[in-house]
Amino acid sequence: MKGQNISLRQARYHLSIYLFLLPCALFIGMFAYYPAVNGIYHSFFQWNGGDVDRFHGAQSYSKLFLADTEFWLAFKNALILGIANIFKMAPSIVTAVCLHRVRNARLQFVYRVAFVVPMVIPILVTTYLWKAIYDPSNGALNTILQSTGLMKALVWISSSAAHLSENFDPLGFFSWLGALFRAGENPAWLGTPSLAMLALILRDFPWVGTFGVLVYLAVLQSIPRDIYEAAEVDGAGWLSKFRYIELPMILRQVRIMMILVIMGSINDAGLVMAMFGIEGGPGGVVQVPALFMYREAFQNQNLGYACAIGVVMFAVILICTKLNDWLVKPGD
Amino acid sequence: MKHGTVVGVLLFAFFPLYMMLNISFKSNAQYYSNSVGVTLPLHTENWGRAWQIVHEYLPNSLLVSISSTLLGVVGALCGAYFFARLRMPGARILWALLVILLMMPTISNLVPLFVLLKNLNLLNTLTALILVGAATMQALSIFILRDFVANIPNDLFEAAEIDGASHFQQFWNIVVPLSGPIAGTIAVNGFLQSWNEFMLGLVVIRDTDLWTVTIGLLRLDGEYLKEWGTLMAGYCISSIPVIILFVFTMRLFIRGMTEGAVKG
Amino acid sequence: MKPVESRPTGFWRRISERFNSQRNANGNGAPADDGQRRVNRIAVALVAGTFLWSLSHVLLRQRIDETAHPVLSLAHWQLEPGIRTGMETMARRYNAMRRSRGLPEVIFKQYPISEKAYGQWVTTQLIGGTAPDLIEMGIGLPAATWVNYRGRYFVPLTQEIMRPNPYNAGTPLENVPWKETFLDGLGNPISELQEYYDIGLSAFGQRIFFNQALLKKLTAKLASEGKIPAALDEPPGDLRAFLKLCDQIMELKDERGRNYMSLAGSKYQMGFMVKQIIDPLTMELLDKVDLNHSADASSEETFFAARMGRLKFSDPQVLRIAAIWKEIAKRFQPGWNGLDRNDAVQLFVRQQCLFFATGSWDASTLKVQAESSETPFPVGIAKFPVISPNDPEWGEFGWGPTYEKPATAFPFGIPSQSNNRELALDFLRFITTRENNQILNDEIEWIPVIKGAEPKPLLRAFQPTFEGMYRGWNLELGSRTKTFTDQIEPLMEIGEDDKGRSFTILDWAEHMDTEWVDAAARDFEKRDEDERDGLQTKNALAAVLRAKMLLAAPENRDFHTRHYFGYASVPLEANKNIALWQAWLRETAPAKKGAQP
Repeated sequence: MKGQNISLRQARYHLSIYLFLLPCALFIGMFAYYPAVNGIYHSFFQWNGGDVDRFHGAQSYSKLFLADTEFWLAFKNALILGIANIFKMAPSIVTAVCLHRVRNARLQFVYRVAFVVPMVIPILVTTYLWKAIYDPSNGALNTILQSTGLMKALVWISSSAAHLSENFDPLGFFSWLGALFRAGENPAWLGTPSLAMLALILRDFPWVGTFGVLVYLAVLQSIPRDIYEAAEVDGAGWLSKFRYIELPMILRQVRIMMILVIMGSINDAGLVMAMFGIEGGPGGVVQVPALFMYREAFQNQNLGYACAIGVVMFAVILICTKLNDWLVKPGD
Repeated sequence: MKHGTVVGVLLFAFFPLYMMLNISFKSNAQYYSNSVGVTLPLHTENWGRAWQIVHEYLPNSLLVSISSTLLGVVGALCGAYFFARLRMPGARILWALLVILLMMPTISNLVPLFVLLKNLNLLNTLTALILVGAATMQALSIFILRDFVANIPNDLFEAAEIDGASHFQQFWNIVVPLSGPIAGTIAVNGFLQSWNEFMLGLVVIRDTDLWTVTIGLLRLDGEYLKEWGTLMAGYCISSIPVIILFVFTMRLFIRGMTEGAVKG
Repeated sequence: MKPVESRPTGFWRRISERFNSQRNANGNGAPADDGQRRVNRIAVALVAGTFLWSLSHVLLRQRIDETAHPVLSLAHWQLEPGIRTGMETMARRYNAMRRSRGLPEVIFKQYPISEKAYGQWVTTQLIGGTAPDLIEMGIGLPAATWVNYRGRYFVPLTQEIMRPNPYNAGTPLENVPWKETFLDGLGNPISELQEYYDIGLSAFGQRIFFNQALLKKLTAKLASEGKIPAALDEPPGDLRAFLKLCDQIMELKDERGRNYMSLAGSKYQMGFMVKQIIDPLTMELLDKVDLNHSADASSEETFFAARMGRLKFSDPQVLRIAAIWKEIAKRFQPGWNGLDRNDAVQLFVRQQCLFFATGSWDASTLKVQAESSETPFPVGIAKFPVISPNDPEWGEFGWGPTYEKPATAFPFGIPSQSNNRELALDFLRFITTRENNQILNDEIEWIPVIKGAEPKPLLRAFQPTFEGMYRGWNLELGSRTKTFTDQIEPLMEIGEDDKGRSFTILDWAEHMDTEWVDAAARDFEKRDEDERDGLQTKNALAAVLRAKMLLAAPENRDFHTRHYFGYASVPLEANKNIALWQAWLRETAPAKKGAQP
């Protein structure tokens, strides 16, 4: 925060500035804080949203920590998705760098305009598209795999992994890999428990988000020209330029985004629900914590329990943020 | 090679757009036989049917999105001014509260929010959507705007103060004009978010003539035998206001993102 | 720094100087050129104009004057157009009737909500107090939740259905109690609540739909290869022969080199096959499960039987049933679990698969889709195959077809918070006369539900079988058991779990014996609590009825007295059930603490 500290005495002269707080305090206080606090309050109750409102202390929490292993499995899923999402930031970065290096200014302008246009597409449309691609009998993915023979390669990988898993199987990875693809079958990406998570991660190939590209591009364009010229004088090729100039800048931005990405994967139920439905996929394999909470609230009517889940989710995110700060600060 | 990558990525990014337009002209039979290629004849009546369904919802969506964006930006700008201009007593705590708010999962708020709206008699009104939309925009916007206001050199403010300007005048004459691009970016983001939002509307609005376009299209989605053509035409129509918005604010995305985004 | 009170004149000039220099320093691109400024002005004008237009549109939208005309609102999840137009026809006829009797017309509002959002929508409307006057019941939420809602939010109609329908005057059904005018007498009351809440408007049956042309073509091909004796016009009625035919069909390829699929599957379709073919096989378990000797197996009885150890899923008989279940699942196309109804229908319409199990509600839609597709084909309707008693492996289950109740479905209930309860009830009475019900169902192309009404020729194939087997267990006690079975049944049906490890029938049985029973225990506790909660509402309603009785005018006193005593006596009936549960709880309690085998 900038500016000097205004002590209580001096504040008298600047009282009018508190008025500026009014509109946003009103909005946030009423429509964001009150429900949140209400949610915390109700997490100690057994509530169905209407007339049933019984105080029962920390029962929801004990049930959550002791009895509901499903919830913690959901966190594992969110973690996997979050880490995958972080890796999926890479293609955007690469594209931004390529875009940045384009020398022709007019062409670059045209490209930038072109990157803005796809933001118009509603999310549901891409969901339909990917569900159609993952369709086992008619979808594009299986058709391409079969016709290019990639399917055979995948089956070979699977069978060798299966053999390997008999001797050496860290974390069950090889036996999982071994069961993925079998000869002669059209894999059901959204219907098979073992493939469902993979399908969710692979969605949106080539994983370039147009908005992300523009943000990274903005980062890159704030690098002063002189550094580039100095590097060229030193004889740096494009790879070294990337490693020493651009990468550090981008990594700083990435570190900031990282926590947002993980937070997003814990907090967001819509994506999984759109692809898989409210149980979270076959066998509930792709459940994320937010989906679990949504189901408890709107299908099982355990609103008090859902509020408790919300509080726990929030606590986890708080811990993650603290961790992120602690890990990121020294390097910054 | 870099051109190759960029063009390749663009092709993938435009593919859904192409499909949306393509399918909107197909009948169901054409869609089943050949979903990717262009099939003739083009069934323009899909657009007619989609317009029939969507045109009632357009005013609702526009009203809600524009209002909530305006309210959101105004509120956020004021709030950012408060936090960035001077470090008033108590501001630290309030800021921490704000940051915490960003981290809360919004889903668990849905039901208490619903009960709150019920108590305020705002159920089944568009006002509810506007107010909640404005509130949702606030947290992130204040974050970004605060950095921006903090970067305005102090001399401007001090000069104004010397000349006897009140805080309001400082705000109106300094912060507001300078914030054009960044406020514009936030406004566009907020508009997009509000346009695509349906969770709250689904739960709060009962009367079908108050539905927004996104909710109305969801209804089409649930049809038993999906009329793909009409559905996609509906989505195309609902994208048109967004496209118009982008045309006018193109500059912002090309240049205005330098502010705020880097520091954020 | 203390602000100075006066405002020197150079104020604006100095500010604008500093300010412009600041802007240029920031590289903000102040709209230096006129072109840009013009664009900005256009943009602002556009936004302002759009805003004003939409505001005026919203505000001036015709707000219906509710005092002059009552508004009747109706919510359902049937998005097929026939339903909407059918309801509108009914509304028109109702208004015509009201006009003829000098009553004000009713403004009719339909809220079609998509299936996926229906449960959540109903929940929020009921909680928020904005529920419409008529709500279609039964979908989007677990059955147990609907039971809770009925008890808590809906008007019990038991008394009303005992009296004749006044709109039946002049027809043979004139003095028949409303309940008895329905084909199945409206069935039993909601067993947990011992009251009737739903009035249904149509009946449904389930069959296997098949692609007649394709069946002939493929079986002719198989016959020419000597695999089967002759081409078939209909699918075989014996389950084993049917499954064998499915296997043979799946080996054939179409012009594009893709294998044909036999059963078009989705989670939804699987439910049908299980209900129609597998559930009746469990009838043998009835003597283990039916604890109160009511000749049916309720979900609570299933739970107690399992906990008492009378019903074990690892029992060889149950395992044999599960084996047949898995056999059927094998014939669904791979990936069936990830598809929904629409996708499965697409497969059928694209002529990639032969058989499609669904209900009569889809009959007309399927026919229309089949006839308007690129290569139109006729759709046939056949009964589900049954196990023959001579079957070498499964003969023990060969007892014949499934019992089909002519069950009233498409049910509507009236929320107690509605302001138009009487009007809603009146409307329901009106549309369940024989004539109107026939008209409604003709328009929708469903099966009418009032005695004497005839379904369209297309739907004659759905005549129910009145003699047959029915299920001996009910695995859905509440939300937890539903979620559990929803998650574990696909694993058993597909044969593997999320790690790709095999998941056999034995695994399934093991999980059911332990985890299902736990889930059921928790569901039962919740149901218990909900009933106790619902008791408050029931008591409140009883108090209201009693007040009405005491304050009634002399000419109405009789009616209100009967109403009150009829209502207040019901809890005594419910108590009988409670005593039974408590007895079983006591009986099974020691088993809980002991080691589970």
